Amino acid sequence: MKKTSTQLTLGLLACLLSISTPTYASKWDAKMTPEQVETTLIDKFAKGSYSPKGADSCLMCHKKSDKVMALFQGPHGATNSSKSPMAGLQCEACHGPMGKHNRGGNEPMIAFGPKSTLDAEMQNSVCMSCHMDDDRMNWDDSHHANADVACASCHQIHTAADPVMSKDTEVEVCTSCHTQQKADINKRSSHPLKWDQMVCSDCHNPHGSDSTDADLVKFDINQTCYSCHAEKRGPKLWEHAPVTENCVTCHNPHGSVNDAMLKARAPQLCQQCHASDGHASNPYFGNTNMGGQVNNNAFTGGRSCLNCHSQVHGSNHPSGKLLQR
Amino acid sequence: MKCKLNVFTLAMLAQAGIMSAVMAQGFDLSQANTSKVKFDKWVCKACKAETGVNGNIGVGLGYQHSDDLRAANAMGTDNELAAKLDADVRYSNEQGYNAEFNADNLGMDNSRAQLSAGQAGHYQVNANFRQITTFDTDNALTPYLGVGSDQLSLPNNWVTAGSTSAMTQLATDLYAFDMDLKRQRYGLGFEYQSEQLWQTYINYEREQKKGLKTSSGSSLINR
Repeated sequence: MKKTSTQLTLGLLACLLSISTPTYASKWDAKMTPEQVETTLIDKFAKGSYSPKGADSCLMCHKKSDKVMALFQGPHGATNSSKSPMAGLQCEACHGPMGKHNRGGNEPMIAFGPKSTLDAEMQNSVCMSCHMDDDRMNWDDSHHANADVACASCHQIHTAADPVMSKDTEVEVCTSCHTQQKADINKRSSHPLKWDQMVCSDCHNPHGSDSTDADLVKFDINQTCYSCHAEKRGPKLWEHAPVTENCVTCHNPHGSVNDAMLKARAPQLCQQCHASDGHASNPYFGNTNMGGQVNNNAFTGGRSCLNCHSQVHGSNHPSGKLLQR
Repeated sequence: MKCKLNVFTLAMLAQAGIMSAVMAQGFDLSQANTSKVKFDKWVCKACKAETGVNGNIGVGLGYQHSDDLRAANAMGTDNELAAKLDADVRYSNEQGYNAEFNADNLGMDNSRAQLSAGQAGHYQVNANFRQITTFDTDNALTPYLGVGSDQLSLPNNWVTAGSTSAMTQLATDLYAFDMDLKRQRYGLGFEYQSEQLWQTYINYEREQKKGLKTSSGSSLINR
Protein backbone atom coordinates (compact mmCIF):
# COMPACT_ATOMS: atom_id res chain seq x y z
CA MET A 1 0.00 0.00 0.00
CA LYS A 2 2.85 2.33 0.95
CA LYS A 3 4.62 1.54 -2.31
CA THR A 4 1.53 2.46 -4.27
CA SER A 5 1.27 5.72 -2.37
CA THR A 6 4.91 6.59 -3.12
CA GLN A 7 4.41 5.79 -6.80
CA LEU A 8 1.34 8.03 -6.86
CA THR A 9 3.25 10.89 -5.20
CA LEU A 10 6.12 10.55 -7.68
CA GLY A 11 3.64 10.50 -10.55
CA LEU A 12 1.95 13.67 -9.31
CA LEU A 13 5.31 15.37 -8.81
CA ALA A 14 6.39 14.47 -12.34
CA CYS A 15 3.08 15.77 -13.62
CA LEU A 16 3.45 19.06 -11.71
CA LEU A 17 7.03 19.47 -12.92
CA SER A 18 6.00 18.94 -16.51
CA ILE A 19 3.32 21.63 -16.12
CA SER A 20 5.45 24.18 -14.31
CA THR A 21 8.67 23.81 -16.36
CA PRO A 22 8.57 26.32 -19.21
CA THR A 23 9.93 25.32 -22.60
CA TYR A 24 12.64 27.49 -24.09
CA ALA A 25 13.62 27.95 -27.70
CA SER A 26 17.29 28.01 -26.78
CA LYS A 27 19.42 26.98 -23.84
CA TRP A 28 20.26 30.57 -22.90
CA ASP A 29 16.62 31.65 -22.70
CA ALA A 30 16.30 29.77 -19.41
CA LYS A 31 18.93 31.96 -17.76
CA MET A 32 18.66 35.30 -19.54
CA THR A 33 15.88 37.76 -20.23
CA PRO A 34 15.12 38.62 -23.89
CA GLU A 35 16.73 42.04 -23.29
CA GLN A 36 19.92 40.45 -22.00
CA VAL A 37 20.00 38.09 -24.99
CA GLU A 38 19.61 40.99 -27.42
CA THR A 39 22.27 43.12 -25.69
CA THR A 40 24.70 40.20 -25.67
CA LEU A 41 24.11 39.51 -29.36
CA ILE A 42 24.62 43.17 -30.34
CA ASP A 43 27.81 43.23 -28.29
CA LYS A 44 29.05 39.99 -29.88
CA PHE A 45 28.25 41.30 -33.36
CA ALA A 46 30.25 44.48 -32.70
CA LYS A 47 33.24 42.58 -31.33
CA GLY A 48 33.29 40.17 -34.27
CA SER A 49 34.72 37.17 -32.43
CA TYR A 50 34.10 34.74 -35.26
CA SER A 51 35.13 31.08 -35.03
CA PRO A 52 38.60 29.89 -36.03
CA LYS A 53 37.37 27.53 -38.76
CA GLY A 54 33.95 28.80 -39.78
CA ALA A 55 31.29 26.16 -40.47
CA ASP A 56 33.70 23.38 -39.50
CA SER A 57 33.80 24.84 -35.97
CA CYS A 58 29.99 24.87 -35.75
CA LEU A 59 29.52 21.42 -37.26
CA MET A 60 31.82 19.83 -34.67
CA CYS A 61 28.75 19.82 -32.44
CA HIS A 62 25.80 20.54 -34.77
CA LYS A 63 26.41 18.02 -37.55
CA LYS A 64 24.40 15.46 -35.60
CA SER A 65 21.26 17.46 -36.32
CA ASP A 66 19.51 16.49 -39.56
CA LYS A 67 17.89 19.90 -39.68
CA VAL A 68 21.24 21.68 -39.51
CA MET A 69 22.70 19.47 -42.26
CA ALA A 70 19.61 19.96 -44.44
CA LEU A 71 20.95 23.49 -45.07
CA PHE A 72 23.33 21.98 -47.63
CA GLN A 73 20.41 20.81 -49.76
CA GLY A 74 19.29 24.37 -50.40
CA PRO A 75 20.79 27.57 -51.84
CA HIS A 76 21.95 28.89 -48.45
CA GLY A 77 24.23 25.88 -48.10
CA ALA A 78 25.56 26.01 -51.66
CA THR A 79 29.34 25.85 -51.65
CA ASN A 80 29.51 26.57 -55.37
CA SER A 81 27.89 30.00 -55.40
CA SER A 82 29.58 33.31 -54.75
CA LYS A 83 26.26 34.68 -53.40
CA SER A 84 25.71 31.95 -50.81
CA PRO A 85 26.46 32.50 -47.10
CA MET A 86 28.90 29.61 -47.52
CA ALA A 87 31.06 31.93 -49.64
CA GLY A 88 31.27 34.40 -46.77
CA LEU A 89 30.82 34.04 -43.03
CA GLN A 90 29.14 30.67 -43.48
CA CYS A 91 26.91 29.66 -40.51
CA GLU A 92 27.94 32.81 -38.67
CA ALA A 93 26.65 35.00 -41.50
CA CYS A 94 23.15 34.38 -40.18
CA HIS A 95 23.70 33.19 -36.61
CA GLY A 96 26.31 35.82 -35.70
CA PRO A 97 29.85 35.46 -34.35
CA MET A 98 30.46 32.31 -32.36
CA GLY A 99 32.33 34.04 -29.49
CA LYS A 100 32.26 31.66 -26.52
CA HIS A 101 29.18 29.78 -27.65
CA ASN A 102 31.28 26.66 -28.27
CA ARG A 103 31.98 26.41 -24.53
CA GLY A 104 28.84 24.54 -23.58
CA GLY A 105 26.47 26.37 -25.88
CA ASN A 106 25.36 28.80 -23.16
CA GLU A 107 26.29 32.04 -24.89
CA PRO A 108 23.48 33.25 -27.14
CA MET A 109 23.58 33.02 -30.92
CA ILE A 110 21.11 34.68 -33.29
CA ALA A 111 18.09 32.38 -33.45
CA PHE A 112 15.16 32.57 -35.86
CA GLY A 113 11.53 31.57 -35.93
CA PRO A 114 8.52 31.95 -33.68
CA LYS A 115 10.35 30.71 -30.60
CA SER A 116 13.21 33.19 -30.91
CA THR A 117 13.20 35.88 -28.22
CA LEU A 118 14.61 38.36 -30.73
CA ASP A 119 11.98 40.63 -32.21
CA ALA A 120 11.08 40.36 -35.88
CA GLU A 121 13.02 43.48 -36.88
CA MET A 122 16.26 42.17 -35.36
CA GLN A 123 15.80 38.73 -36.95
CA ASN A 124 14.95 40.27 -40.30
CA SER A 125 17.97 42.57 -40.29
CA VAL A 126 20.07 39.48 -40.99
CA CYS A 127 17.98 38.33 -43.96
CA MET A 128 17.63 41.84 -45.40
CA SER A 129 21.43 42.20 -45.52
CA CYS A 130 21.37 40.13 -48.72
CA HIS A 131 17.73 39.96 -49.79
CA MET A 132 17.26 43.60 -50.71
CA ASP A 133 16.34 43.32 -54.38
CA ASP A 134 13.49 44.90 -56.32
CA ASP A 135 10.97 42.33 -55.05
CA ARG A 136 11.73 43.29 -51.44
CA MET A 137 12.62 46.97 -51.75
CA ASN A 138 9.24 47.92 -50.24
CA TRP A 139 9.58 45.57 -47.29
CA ASP A 140 9.71 48.33 -44.66
CA ASP A 141 6.32 49.66 -45.80
CA SER A 142 4.73 46.25 -46.24
CA HIS A 143 1.80 44.93 -44.25
CA HIS A 144 3.90 42.02 -42.99
CA ALA A 145 6.69 44.31 -41.74
CA ASN A 146 4.15 46.57 -40.01
CA ALA A 147 2.66 43.51 -38.32
CA ASP A 148 6.12 42.48 -37.07
CA VAL A 149 6.20 39.30 -39.11
CA ALA A 150 9.64 37.71 -39.19
CA CYS A 151 11.02 36.27 -42.44
CA ALA A 152 11.36 32.96 -40.58
CA SER A 153 7.64 32.98 -39.77
CA CYS A 154 7.01 32.04 -43.40
CA HIS A 155 10.36 30.85 -44.75
CA GLN A 156 12.52 27.86 -43.94
CA ILE A 157 16.11 27.66 -45.16
CA HIS A 158 17.34 24.48 -43.48
CA THR A 159 15.53 22.40 -46.08
CA ALA A 160 15.80 21.34 -49.72
CA ALA A 161 12.55 23.08 -50.62
CA ASP A 162 10.99 25.95 -48.68
CA PRO A 163 7.22 25.19 -48.46
CA VAL A 164 6.22 28.81 -49.11
CA MET A 165 8.32 28.82 -52.29
CA SER A 166 6.53 25.80 -53.73
CA LYS A 167 3.22 26.40 -55.51
CA ASP A 168 1.89 23.14 -54.08
CA THR A 169 2.19 24.38 -50.50
CA GLU A 170 2.24 28.20 -50.71
CA VAL A 171 -1.49 28.67 -50.11
CA GLU A 172 -1.33 26.38 -47.08
CA VAL A 173 1.44 28.49 -45.51
CA CYS A 174 -0.35 31.81 -46.15
CA THR A 175 -3.74 30.62 -44.95
CA SER A 176 -2.30 29.35 -41.69
CA CYS A 177 -2.58 33.02 -40.63
CA HIS A 178 -5.01 34.46 -43.20
CA THR A 179 -7.99 32.40 -42.09
CA GLN A 180 -10.69 34.68 -43.49
CA GLN A 181 -9.23 34.20 -46.95
CA LYS A 182 -8.99 30.48 -46.23
CA ALA A 183 -12.75 30.45 -45.72
CA ASP A 184 -13.37 32.61 -48.80
CA ILE A 185 -11.37 30.45 -51.19
CA ASN A 186 -13.59 27.50 -50.28
CA LYS A 187 -16.80 29.28 -51.24
CA ARG A 188 -18.69 28.18 -54.33
CA SER A 189 -17.28 30.91 -56.54
CA SER A 190 -13.59 31.67 -56.10
CA HIS A 191 -10.27 31.80 -57.86
CA PRO A 192 -8.91 28.23 -57.96
CA LEU A 193 -6.66 28.62 -54.93
CA LYS A 194 -8.09 25.70 -53.00
CA TRP A 195 -6.66 23.36 -55.64
CA ASP A 196 -3.33 25.26 -55.80
CA GLN A 197 -3.97 26.06 -59.46
CA MET A 198 -3.46 29.68 -58.52
CA VAL A 199 -1.41 30.89 -55.55
CA CYS A 200 -1.54 33.96 -53.31
CA SER A 201 1.62 35.44 -54.86
CA ASP A 202 -0.05 35.55 -58.30
CA CYS A 203 -1.73 38.73 -57.01
CA HIS A 204 0.13 39.73 -53.83
CA ASN A 205 3.76 40.47 -53.07
CA PRO A 206 4.14 39.44 -49.41
CA HIS A 207 7.34 41.51 -49.23
CA GLY A 208 5.53 44.75 -49.99
CA SER A 209 4.94 46.60 -53.21
CA ASP A 210 4.20 50.01 -54.69
CA SER A 211 0.53 49.12 -54.61
CA THR A 212 -1.88 51.24 -52.61
CA ASP A 213 -3.84 48.14 -51.58
CA ALA A 214 -2.97 44.81 -50.00
CA ASP A 215 0.61 44.68 -51.33
CA LEU A 216 -0.58 43.75 -54.80
CA VAL A 217 1.85 42.89 -57.58
CA LYS A 218 0.65 45.85 -59.66
CA PHE A 219 0.18 49.39 -58.42
CA ASP A 220 -3.57 49.08 -57.91
CA ILE A 221 -6.37 46.50 -57.80
CA ASN A 222 -7.60 46.93 -61.37
CA GLN A 223 -4.13 46.68 -62.93
CA THR A 224 -3.60 43.45 -60.97
CA CYS A 225 -6.90 42.02 -62.24
CA TYR A 226 -6.16 43.07 -65.84
CA SER A 227 -3.02 40.87 -65.80
CA CYS A 228 -5.34 37.93 -66.44
CA HIS A 229 -8.65 39.63 -67.27
CA ALA A 230 -7.20 41.75 -70.06
CA GLU A 231 -10.51 42.06 -71.92
CA LYS A 232 -11.82 44.19 -69.05
CA ARG A 233 -8.99 46.71 -69.34
CA GLY A 234 -10.52 49.04 -71.89
CA PRO A 235 -10.55 51.89 -72.61
CA LYS A 236 -14.13 51.48 -73.79
CA LEU A 237 -16.30 53.90 -75.67
CA TRP A 238 -18.96 53.60 -72.98
CA GLU A 239 -17.47 52.84 -69.61
CA HIS A 240 -19.09 51.79 -66.37
CA ALA A 241 -17.61 53.98 -63.61
CA PRO A 242 -17.23 51.34 -60.85
CA VAL A 243 -15.53 49.00 -63.34
CA THR A 244 -12.81 51.47 -64.25
CA GLU A 245 -12.58 52.63 -60.66
CA ASN A 246 -12.26 49.41 -58.68
CA CYS A 247 -13.09 45.78 -59.52
CA VAL A 248 -13.69 44.95 -55.86
CA THR A 249 -16.64 47.35 -55.77
CA CYS A 250 -18.65 44.41 -57.08
CA HIS A 251 -16.36 41.37 -56.76
CA ASN A 252 -14.63 39.68 -53.83
CA PRO A 253 -11.51 38.20 -55.44
CA HIS A 254 -11.02 35.66 -52.65
CA GLY A 255 -14.40 34.07 -53.16
CA SER A 256 -18.10 34.51 -52.65
CA VAL A 257 -21.30 32.54 -52.25
CA ASN A 258 -22.62 34.35 -55.34
CA ASP A 259 -21.81 33.62 -58.96
CA ALA A 260 -18.77 35.35 -60.50
CA MET A 261 -17.45 36.19 -57.01
CA LEU A 262 -20.00 38.98 -56.77
CA LYS A 263 -20.49 40.60 -53.38
CA ALA A 264 -24.28 40.48 -53.76
CA ARG A 265 -26.74 39.21 -56.36
CA ALA A 266 -28.37 41.24 -59.08
CA PRO A 267 -30.65 43.14 -58.91
CA GLN A 268 -29.71 44.11 -55.34
CA LEU A 269 -26.04 44.52 -56.28
CA CYS A 270 -26.89 46.96 -59.06
CA GLN A 271 -29.49 48.75 -56.95
CA GLN A 272 -26.87 49.65 -54.37
CA CYS A 273 -26.03 52.45 -56.79
CA HIS A 274 -28.89 52.51 -59.31
CA ALA A 275 -31.78 53.20 -56.99
CA SER A 276 -32.63 56.78 -57.50
CA ASP A 277 -35.05 56.81 -60.42
CA GLY A 278 -36.83 54.90 -63.13
CA HIS A 279 -37.25 51.13 -63.22
CA ALA A 280 -34.10 50.57 -61.13
CA SER A 281 -35.70 52.27 -58.15
CA ASN A 282 -38.44 49.64 -57.75
CA PRO A 283 -37.98 46.77 -55.31
CA TYR A 284 -37.96 43.36 -57.02
CA PHE A 285 -38.65 40.36 -54.80
CA GLY A 286 -39.09 37.64 -57.41
CA ASN A 287 -37.61 34.20 -57.00
CA THR A 288 -34.17 34.52 -58.62
CA ASN A 289 -33.59 30.80 -59.15
CA MET A 290 -32.29 30.48 -62.68
CA GLY A 291 -35.26 29.37 -64.75
CA GLY A 292 -37.53 29.15 -61.73
CA GLN A 293 -40.88 30.79 -61.13
CA VAL A 294 -40.13 34.41 -61.75
CA ASN A 295 -43.53 35.40 -63.13
CA ASN A 296 -41.95 36.30 -66.44
CA ASN A 297 -40.25 39.17 -64.72
CA ALA A 298 -37.18 40.32 -66.64
CA PHE A 299 -35.86 42.12 -63.57
CA THR A 300 -35.46 38.99 -61.48
CA GLY A 301 -35.40 36.12 -63.97
CA GLY A 302 -32.36 34.79 -65.79
CA ARG A 303 -29.48 37.24 -65.53
CA SER A 304 -31.61 39.96 -63.90
CA CYS A 305 -30.35 43.46 -64.81
CA LEU A 306 -27.83 41.82 -67.14
CA ASN A 307 -30.67 40.42 -69.26
CA CYS A 308 -30.61 43.80 -70.96
CA HIS A 309 -27.47 45.52 -69.66
CA SER A 310 -25.19 42.62 -70.58
CA GLN A 311 -22.11 44.75 -71.32
CA VAL A 312 -21.70 45.69 -67.69
CA HIS A 313 -17.90 45.93 -68.04
CA GLY A 314 -18.21 48.56 -70.78
CA SER A 315 -19.25 48.76 -74.38
CA ASN A 316 -17.63 49.75 -77.66
CA HIS A 317 -20.90 49.78 -79.59
CA PRO A 318 -21.83 53.24 -80.94
CA SER A 319 -25.25 52.87 -79.28
CA GLY A 320 -23.94 51.18 -76.17
CA LYS A 321 -24.54 54.04 -73.77
CA LEU A 322 -26.84 51.91 -71.62
CA LEU A 323 -24.39 49.00 -71.80
CA GLN A 324 -26.99 46.93 -73.64
CA ARG A 325 -24.89 46.02 -76.68
CA MET B 1 32.52 80.58 -43.69
CA LYS B 2 29.16 81.27 -42.28
CA CYS B 3 26.65 78.44 -42.43
CA LYS B 4 22.99 79.14 -41.79
CA LEU B 5 20.59 76.34 -41.05
CA ASN B 6 16.89 76.95 -41.12
CA VAL B 7 14.38 74.94 -39.07
CA PHE B 8 13.48 72.73 -42.02
CA THR B 9 17.12 71.80 -42.68
CA LEU B 10 17.66 71.10 -38.99
CA ALA B 11 14.57 68.87 -38.95
CA MET B 12 15.88 66.95 -41.95
CA LEU B 13 19.29 66.51 -40.36
CA ALA B 14 17.69 65.36 -37.10
CA GLN B 15 15.54 62.89 -39.05
CA ALA B 16 18.61 61.63 -40.91
CA GLY B 17 20.34 61.12 -37.56
CA ILE B 18 17.40 59.12 -36.22
CA MET B 19 17.24 57.08 -39.44
CA SER B 20 20.94 56.21 -39.32
CA ALA B 21 20.59 55.20 -35.65
CA VAL B 22 17.67 52.94 -36.58
CA MET B 23 19.51 51.50 -39.54
CA ALA B 24 22.53 50.79 -37.36
CA GLN B 25 20.46 48.48 -35.17
CA GLY B 26 20.43 44.86 -36.09
CA PHE B 27 22.85 42.50 -37.69
CA ASP B 28 23.38 43.91 -41.15
CA LEU B 29 26.15 41.84 -42.70
CA SER B 30 27.70 44.89 -44.33
CA GLN B 31 28.41 46.14 -40.80
CA ALA B 32 29.99 42.87 -39.64
CA ASN B 33 33.36 43.22 -37.94
CA THR B 34 35.42 40.66 -39.84
CA SER B 35 38.85 42.15 -39.07
CA LYS B 36 39.87 39.12 -37.00
CA VAL B 37 38.55 36.43 -39.32
CA LYS B 38 41.17 34.15 -40.89
CA PHE B 39 39.22 33.14 -43.99
CA ASP B 40 42.07 30.97 -45.32
CA LYS B 41 41.27 28.48 -42.54
CA TRP B 42 37.53 28.46 -43.31
CA VAL B 43 37.70 25.55 -45.77
CA CYS B 44 34.42 23.98 -44.71
CA LYS B 45 35.46 20.32 -44.91
CA ALA B 46 32.23 19.15 -43.30
CA CYS B 47 30.00 21.01 -45.73
CA LYS B 48 28.27 18.40 -47.82
CA ALA B 49 26.64 20.46 -50.56
CA GLU B 50 24.24 18.45 -52.65
CA THR B 51 25.44 17.71 -56.21
CA GLY B 52 24.15 15.44 -58.95
CA VAL B 53 20.52 14.73 -59.70
CA ASN B 54 18.02 14.63 -56.84
CA GLY B 55 14.26 14.69 -56.56
CA ASN B 56 11.10 12.81 -57.38
CA ILE B 57 9.21 11.93 -60.53
CA GLY B 58 5.72 10.50 -60.41
CA VAL B 59 3.30 9.34 -63.06
CA GLY B 60 -0.37 8.84 -62.46
CA LEU B 61 -3.22 7.16 -64.28
CA GLY B 62 -6.80 7.60 -63.19
CA TYR B 63 -10.40 6.92 -64.11
CA GLN B 64 -13.38 9.00 -63.11
CA HIS B 65 -17.07 8.94 -63.81
CA SER B 66 -19.11 12.01 -63.05
CA ASP B 67 -22.54 13.26 -63.97
CA ASP B 68 -21.67 16.90 -63.27
CA LEU B 69 -18.99 18.76 -65.23
CA ARG B 70 -18.22 21.03 -62.28
CA ALA B 71 -16.57 18.06 -60.54
CA ALA B 72 -13.79 18.39 -63.15
CA ASN B 73 -12.62 21.58 -61.40
CA ALA B 74 -11.60 19.50 -58.42
CA MET B 75 -10.47 16.48 -60.44
CA GLY B 76 -8.26 18.57 -62.75
CA THR B 77 -9.78 17.21 -65.95
CA ASP B 78 -13.09 16.17 -67.46
CA ASN B 79 -11.59 13.14 -69.21
CA GLU B 80 -12.81 9.82 -67.91
CA LEU B 81 -9.34 8.36 -68.28
CA ALA B 82 -6.52 10.71 -67.30
CA ALA B 83 -2.74 10.46 -67.16
CA LYS B 84 -0.37 12.89 -65.49
CA LEU B 85 3.28 13.61 -64.74
CA ASP B 86 4.51 15.13 -61.46
CA ALA B 87 8.17 16.05 -61.10
CA ASP B 88 10.45 17.86 -58.70
CA VAL B 89 13.96 17.21 -59.97
CA ARG B 90 17.11 19.22 -59.30
CA TYR B 91 20.59 19.00 -60.77
CA SER B 92 23.68 20.76 -59.48
CA ASN B 93 27.40 20.35 -60.04
CA GLU B 94 30.60 21.53 -58.32
CA GLN B 95 30.92 24.55 -60.63
CA GLY B 96 27.53 25.87 -59.57
CA TYR B 97 25.68 24.98 -62.77
CA ASN B 98 22.21 23.86 -61.91
CA ALA B 99 18.89 22.92 -63.45
CA GLU B 100 15.46 22.28 -62.03
CA PHE B 101 12.30 20.80 -63.46
CA ASN B 102 8.96 21.02 -61.71
CA ALA B 103 5.73 19.62 -63.04
CA ASP B 104 2.33 19.35 -61.44
CA ASN B 105 -0.47 17.34 -63.05
CA LEU B 106 1.19 17.80 -66.45
CA GLY B 107 -1.02 16.26 -69.10
CA MET B 108 -4.28 17.23 -67.40
CA ASP B 109 -6.53 20.23 -68.00
CA ASN B 110 -5.26 21.94 -64.87
CA SER B 111 -1.49 21.70 -64.80
CA ARG B 112 1.78 23.58 -64.66
CA ALA B 113 5.45 23.03 -65.35
CA GLN B 114 8.67 24.98 -65.05
CA LEU B 115 12.17 24.34 -66.33
CA SER B 116 15.01 26.52 -65.13
CA ALA B 117 18.76 26.34 -65.59
CA GLY B 118 21.77 28.51 -64.91
CA GLN B 119 24.74 29.11 -62.68
CA ALA B 120 24.10 29.86 -59.01
CA GLY B 121 24.70 33.51 -58.20
CA HIS B 122 25.22 34.50 -61.88
CA TYR B 123 22.36 33.85 -64.23
CA GLN B 124 19.21 31.82 -64.59
CA VAL B 125 16.90 31.16 -67.53
CA ASN B 126 13.48 29.63 -67.20
CA ALA B 127 10.52 28.51 -69.26
CA ASN B 128 7.16 27.91 -67.71
CA PHE B 129 3.68 26.74 -68.58
CA ARG B 130 0.37 26.95 -66.73
CA GLN B 131 -3.04 25.77 -67.79
CA ILE B 132 -6.19 26.49 -65.81
CA THR B 133 -9.52 25.23 -67.04
CA THR B 134 -12.70 26.38 -65.36
CA PHE B 135 -15.54 23.98 -65.93
CA ASP B 136 -18.94 25.62 -65.57
CA THR B 137 -21.65 23.26 -66.83
CA ASP B 138 -22.30 20.56 -69.41
CA ASN B 139 -25.99 21.30 -69.49
CA ALA B 140 -26.21 24.86 -70.83
CA LEU B 141 -29.11 25.13 -73.30
CA THR B 142 -29.35 27.23 -76.46
CA PRO B 143 -31.44 27.27 -79.63
CA TYR B 144 -28.67 29.14 -81.50
CA LEU B 145 -26.56 27.42 -84.12
CA GLY B 146 -22.87 28.22 -84.43
CA VAL B 147 -22.05 28.33 -80.70
CA GLY B 148 -18.35 29.10 -80.33
CA SER B 149 -18.10 30.86 -83.70
CA ASP B 150 -18.39 34.54 -84.58
CA GLN B 151 -21.94 34.19 -85.87
CA LEU B 152 -24.99 32.85 -84.12
CA SER B 153 -28.10 32.02 -86.09
CA LEU B 154 -31.53 30.65 -85.26
CA PRO B 155 -32.79 27.44 -86.91
CA ASN B 156 -34.85 27.70 -90.11
CA ASN B 157 -38.00 26.49 -88.38
CA TRP B 158 -37.72 29.12 -85.64
CA VAL B 159 -40.96 30.88 -84.72
CA THR B 160 -40.34 34.48 -83.73
CA ALA B 161 -42.41 35.73 -80.81
CA GLY B 162 -42.48 38.36 -78.10
CA SER B 163 -42.23 35.91 -75.22
CA THR B 164 -40.71 32.47 -74.75
CA SER B 165 -44.12 30.87 -74.27
CA ALA B 166 -45.04 31.88 -77.81
CA MET B 167 -41.79 30.54 -79.30
CA THR B 168 -43.32 27.22 -80.26
CA GLN B 169 -40.10 25.66 -81.58
CA LEU B 170 -38.04 26.62 -78.53
CA ALA B 171 -38.35 23.29 -76.71
CA THR B 172 -37.45 21.21 -79.75
CA ASP B 173 -34.60 23.48 -80.88
CA LEU B 174 -32.82 23.70 -77.53
CA TYR B 175 -29.70 21.60 -77.26
CA ALA B 176 -27.09 21.24 -74.49
CA PHE B 177 -23.46 22.30 -74.79
CA ASP B 178 -20.42 22.40 -72.49
CA MET B 179 -19.45 25.70 -70.99
CA ASP B 180 -15.84 25.97 -69.88
CA LEU B 181 -12.90 28.33 -70.19
CA LYS B 182 -9.34 27.21 -70.78
CA ARG B 183 -6.40 29.52 -70.01
CA GLN B 184 -2.99 28.52 -71.34
CA ARG B 185 -0.05 30.63 -70.23
CA TYR B 186 3.50 30.35 -71.54
CA GLY B 187 6.40 32.26 -70.07
CA LEU B 188 10.12 32.83 -70.60
CA GLY B 189 12.48 34.53 -68.18
CA PHE B 190 16.12 35.52 -67.80
CA GLU B 191 17.80 36.79 -64.67
CA TYR B 192 21.37 38.06 -64.26
CA GLN B 193 23.26 38.81 -61.07
CA SER B 194 26.44 40.81 -61.23
CA GLU B 195 29.36 40.39 -58.85
CA GLN B 196 28.73 44.05 -57.99
CA LEU B 197 25.56 45.24 -56.29
CA TRP B 198 23.22 45.07 -59.25
CA GLN B 199 21.07 42.55 -60.98
CA THR B 200 18.52 42.54 -63.76
CA TYR B 201 15.84 40.37 -65.28
CA ILE B 202 13.42 40.12 -68.15
CA ASN B 203 10.20 38.11 -68.17
CA TYR B 204 7.78 37.44 -70.99
CA GLU B 205 4.36 35.86 -70.58
CA ARG B 206 1.55 35.16 -73.00
CA GLU B 207 -1.83 33.77 -72.04
CA GLN B 208 -4.46 32.45 -74.39
CA LYS B 209 -8.07 32.08 -73.30
CA LYS B 210 -10.51 29.85 -75.08
CA GLY B 211 -14.03 28.92 -74.06
CA LEU B 212 -17.65 29.89 -73.85
CA LYS B 213 -19.55 32.28 -71.64
CA THR B 214 -23.18 33.27 -71.57
CA SER B 215 -24.38 36.63 -72.71
CA SER B 216 -27.71 38.27 -73.29
CA GLY B 217 -29.11 41.03 -75.39
CA SER B 218 -32.32 42.75 -76.20
CA SER B 219 -33.68 42.82 -79.70
CA LEU B 220 -36.53 44.68 -81.33
CA ILE B 221 -39.01 42.60 -83.25
CA ASN B 222 -41.38 44.04 -85.85
CA ARG B 223 -44.57 42.03 -85.98
